Amino acid sequence: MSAALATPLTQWFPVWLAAGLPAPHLSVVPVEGSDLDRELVERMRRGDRRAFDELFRRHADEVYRRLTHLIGPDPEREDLVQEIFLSAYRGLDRFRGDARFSTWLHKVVVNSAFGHLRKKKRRPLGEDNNLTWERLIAPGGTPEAQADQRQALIRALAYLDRLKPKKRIAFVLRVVEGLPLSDIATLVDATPAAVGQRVKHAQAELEAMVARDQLRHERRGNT
Amino acid sequence: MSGPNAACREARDPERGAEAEARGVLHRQRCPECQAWELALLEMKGALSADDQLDQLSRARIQSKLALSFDELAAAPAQGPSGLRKVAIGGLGLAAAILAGLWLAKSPSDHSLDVPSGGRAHLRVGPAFLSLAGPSNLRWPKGELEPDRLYLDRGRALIEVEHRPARGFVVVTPRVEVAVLGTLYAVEVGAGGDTAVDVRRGLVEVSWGERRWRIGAGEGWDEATGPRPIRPELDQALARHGRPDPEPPAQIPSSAPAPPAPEAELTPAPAPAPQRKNLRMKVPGATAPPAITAEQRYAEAEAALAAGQPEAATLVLEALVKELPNDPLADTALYELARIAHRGQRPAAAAAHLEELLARRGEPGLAEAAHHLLCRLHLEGHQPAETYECLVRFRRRFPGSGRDAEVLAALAGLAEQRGGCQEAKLWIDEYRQLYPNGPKAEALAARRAQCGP
Repeated sequence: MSAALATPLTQWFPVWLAAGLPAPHLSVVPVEGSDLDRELVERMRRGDRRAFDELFRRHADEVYRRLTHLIGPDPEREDLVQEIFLSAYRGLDRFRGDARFSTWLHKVVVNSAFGHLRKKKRRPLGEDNNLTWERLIAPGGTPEAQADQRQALIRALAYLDRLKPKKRIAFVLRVVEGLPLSDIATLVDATPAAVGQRVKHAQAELEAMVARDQLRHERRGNT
Repeated sequence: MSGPNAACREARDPERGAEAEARGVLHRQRCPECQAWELALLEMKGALSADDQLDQLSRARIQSKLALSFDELAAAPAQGPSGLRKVAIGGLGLAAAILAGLWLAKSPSDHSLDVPSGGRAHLRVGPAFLSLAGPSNLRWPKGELEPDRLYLDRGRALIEVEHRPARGFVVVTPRVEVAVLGTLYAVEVGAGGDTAVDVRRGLVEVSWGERRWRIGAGEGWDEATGPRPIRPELDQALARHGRPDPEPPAQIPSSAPAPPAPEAELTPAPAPAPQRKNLRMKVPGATAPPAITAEQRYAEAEAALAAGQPEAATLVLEALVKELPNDPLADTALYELARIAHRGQRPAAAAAHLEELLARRGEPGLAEAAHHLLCRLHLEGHQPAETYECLVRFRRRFPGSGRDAEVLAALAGLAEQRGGCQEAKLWIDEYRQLYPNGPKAEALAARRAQCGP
């Protein structure tokens, strides 16, 4: 329970000046988002590591969101976000500046998600992982509604987990994120036609799974 | 693989044209397979978006891990383990040793502020307003647009951090990292790098090597004991340092009868900071949000508390729970209602709020604090049997809790009251096994010696 501090920043400047130090909040000229990214990348290349902290602040939420869409509510996401930014830090020399930094970072996210899905034998979140489910299911509501929600989550994630990583990523980027095939092609280093095929195959496999489940459900209902 | 028919597939083709889409709409209305697919797709989208927001503590954790990794990268080619590092690490664990080593390898391009012995400095860095008592040394990154990471080499810093919804704030000492959201707390670093933390308001997370503790209002932490009550002198110093508290820290009322046994004392329950997190599935077509949001209600309650009007705050928080029962802030509201009732000497109302909160099974950190406060209510109400059962349930539900040592010691005391030495010794043995250097280890060892084999 704490509200924002009301003390104006400038009140503390004499302290800084008395200490012979520059004030920490010197004026920053507001610049457009991608220009600021470019400026931060340049500063980073000149050895100013703090510029990368700023890049992290600007992009961490988006990276986490995109990663979650690609791999689902995996408990390793926090570690993966760390790895993604570390990879970006290491590979900053490869960022040529002809694309937006956010696009370049998105590509790092996609690569990381692909590596994660491929490396790890995907195991659906189990019934015993109560903590994870609790985080995902909306609080309140009747126990029946919560149980339904839980079942829907288990079912949906199980479908996606059965897809091969390349198909899953193409499907999610196209159908969940709504990206055009050409953008996806850039992100996954493939041709738009190849991406289109992956999306269609993924969709066909998923719809077959759904149809099978529906059939099974109907049979159970009949018996 | 037997997929649905071609028309059904065409209806779902993301590359379809307008004409195909029109055909698809008609088809989807009649085809049960299509409807099943639409539902499955909705569920998949919901599942992938259910928890896609980075919370503040995770963000702070990632940021501090990244900083360590960067330091590691920077230090790796040039630095092997030096003699100084070996001295610094002493008998600490490996993780703490690495942290201490990296500390020595910090970039020389940081700003540094040395406060001599007997001196004081007040300053603001990023979102934090600090009071430093000499001798102390503080560093922060040069060229940072808005620093949210400070390095405290030594000395004591009283810190008030402005609450910023999307950002954490980290104080790094030679051995531990203290991540906060918005709070009033103190970090103290001894000559050997040993660190102590005291929290007056809000919630902090202490990371020491691989281990983490969440320390709430009225609590403290140090390397020797782990979680403990806030030190009174720090509590007072923080009260002077910060803005007026919106509410006094929870304390056992002086008029309350003494607890049953020293081992059965429970420290004040912490007050986790409200964490706004969207944990719900996003379902397209859901109803529009209500006119008044949970945040607005919560802000009203905060304002009422800050104005010293707990009754008004109670009304607003109750309204929040009633009007927006599914909002995650309703959980926090219930906890605050319980705390207000507890301070207002209304234990039955406090217990009712806590029971309701625990039944909802919301945020685990909040549930742990709520369960702890509930046990404390039983203890203060002289209900040893209920306290005992409550604490047993607490250990079962929160096996890795930072309060486990304290709870075990309380259980030993209560068990001794119930069934003497024989019943207590099981708890005592477990305590000594798990926490051989815990704050109660010595006293419990003496008690155990009297119990016989």
